[in-house]
Amino acid sequence: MGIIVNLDVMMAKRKVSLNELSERVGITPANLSILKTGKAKAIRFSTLEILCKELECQPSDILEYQDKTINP
Amino acid sequence: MNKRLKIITIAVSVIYAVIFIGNTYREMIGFRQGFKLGWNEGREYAINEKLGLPITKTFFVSLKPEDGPYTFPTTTLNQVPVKAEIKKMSIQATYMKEEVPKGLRIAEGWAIFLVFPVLLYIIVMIPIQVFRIVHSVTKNKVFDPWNINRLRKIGNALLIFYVVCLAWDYFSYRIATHVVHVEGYSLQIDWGNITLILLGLVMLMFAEVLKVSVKLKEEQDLTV
Repeated sequence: MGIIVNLDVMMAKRKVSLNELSERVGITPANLSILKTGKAKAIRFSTLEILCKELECQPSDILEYQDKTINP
Repeated sequence: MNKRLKIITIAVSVIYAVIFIGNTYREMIGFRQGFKLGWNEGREYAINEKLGLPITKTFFVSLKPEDGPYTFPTTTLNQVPVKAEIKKMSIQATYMKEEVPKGLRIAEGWAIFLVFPVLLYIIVMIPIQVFRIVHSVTKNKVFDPWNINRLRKIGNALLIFYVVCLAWDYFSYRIATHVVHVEGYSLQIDWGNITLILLGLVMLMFAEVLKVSVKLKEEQDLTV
């Protein structure tokens, strides 16, 4: 998939751990880990909203599109 | 676990077990008798074929009355003329092997050679797959990806079962047309139990439905 999840980058920037963030947003660490490792197939708007609110960022800071067909 | 699903699963298991045990018991008795008869007939067949004598073989054929009144039984109790078909009767015919084309004899031999291992595999495999599906459902794993393969195996097995039986019947019928003549009747090919095709295709269809369901479930599980 061409969508890259940069949640780990944002978490590092805000210096917040996975468990701490999961407690703050009310998502289980297992589900947050699925999102962080890029295994997630979809993300709810409500989840994105609460993550942006807690990490004080925009959706584009968490999600990024990369064209797989272009080889650098 | 869903209550309705549980009830259906239990009902399927019980009915399948009753049918399987009943059929196995009945078929075992028939198999013993048939095997003894076939063994003796086959031995005699081989000896006579070697010596160039006429060979005797039992054919299982279906007969359809040709145009005209039916002769057996002539009438019913209230004297109404009857015309009916005869499904799967056995006719013992004695003939010279040269009466049947060589290619047909070889084809029938191969069909008989292939029928038994295929049928044995299917008879053993289907109950195992049904048991595994029921087991996974009772363990609340309806969307187990293995169930797709299990359903596909059952569906394909039912279709193969039908095709193999039909091939054997077809070659037997073709040979019978060369050596069996019944006055007033024409030989008919028996198309077997067509319900098996329907059941096989329904199983394959359910396998594809389950495949889509498993994919949806996976997406659902990976939605955060």
